[in-house]
Amino acid sequence: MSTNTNSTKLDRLFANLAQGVENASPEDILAEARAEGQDTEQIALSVRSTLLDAVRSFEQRKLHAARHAYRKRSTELKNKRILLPETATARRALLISAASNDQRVARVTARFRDLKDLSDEDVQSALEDLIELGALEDIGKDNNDGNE
Amino acid sequence: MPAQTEYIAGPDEVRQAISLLTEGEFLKLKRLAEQAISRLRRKIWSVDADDLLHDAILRLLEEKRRWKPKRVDLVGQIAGIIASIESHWLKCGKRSQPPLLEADQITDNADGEAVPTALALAADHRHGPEQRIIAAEELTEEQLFHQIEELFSEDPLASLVFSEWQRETTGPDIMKALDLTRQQYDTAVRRMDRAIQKRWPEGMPHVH
Repeated sequence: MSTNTNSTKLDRLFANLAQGVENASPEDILAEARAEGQDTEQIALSVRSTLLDAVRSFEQRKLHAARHAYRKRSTELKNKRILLPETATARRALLISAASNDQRVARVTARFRDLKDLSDEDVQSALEDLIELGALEDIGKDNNDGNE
Repeated sequence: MPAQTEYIAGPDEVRQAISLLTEGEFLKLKRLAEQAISRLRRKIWSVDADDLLHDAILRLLEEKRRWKPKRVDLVGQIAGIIASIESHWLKCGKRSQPPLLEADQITDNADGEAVPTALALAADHRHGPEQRIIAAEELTEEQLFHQIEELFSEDPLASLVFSEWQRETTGPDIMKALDLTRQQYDTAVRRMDRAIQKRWPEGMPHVH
């Protein structure tokens, strides 16, 4: 079994070798690598690409996190929308009922002069806005009758 | 100004700093990473110098290492992060765990589907071809040091420095005894480093 990590002699060797690079100026390292015939331009390009890829990965991770949050939120909203009544009449009844019983809903719907005159699409849209605002949290419990 | 000392570089600033690095600075970073990987090879197999550099940048941006560009140059900052990652991965290796890379944090793709991470792939502890070759090459410490000594058979200064190291003579004492400047000593050390790297590009053989 390997016991390299316990080898202080080897550790000292590594430490001594490391110092040579740590203390070196980049110009010295470049000159020595060139003198040895290494393709320094290619090595530098490769390192540059690795570093820039990492920056891109970081940005993609942020984007990924944002997408994940968006998907989560969309799923939550979709699940809530399923709870809306299936028929246009029942949805309109829900909106009118909510506006008369809840001040927050009434404030949101105040821009409409008469809820009875709203198009079906506007009713649907208003209910979805209210769901997003969290103003219809109880609809699942109280208004499932329109789906049945 | 307090706000300045708390300022942390973002992706654009790091990208800009990378684009300003010189060819020599890229080479220095590469060699620092290769040396760290060579030391880690004693316990960790699943990562290479590119993984280390990639992770260093991610850590820099994740603010696990705060970089204040006005006070520390990027090469110095990455060198510090490499040392920190090396120490962390070595601890993982001692516990027989694959190292947890920053890049492993993503576990699903943009469609939410699970994807195998580098961590999961690294968890396969079966020996790869490189590991099998080096494991087969297991030596005693004495044999390894003898092989290293042979690498410097045509480089009298390197040979002298190496034998002094084995006697635990410090760098400053070697310089004094051999009447070397710091630059001459460091140049010889880097020559030794490159010779060892060339002989064992995937890491030195295990010793027992």
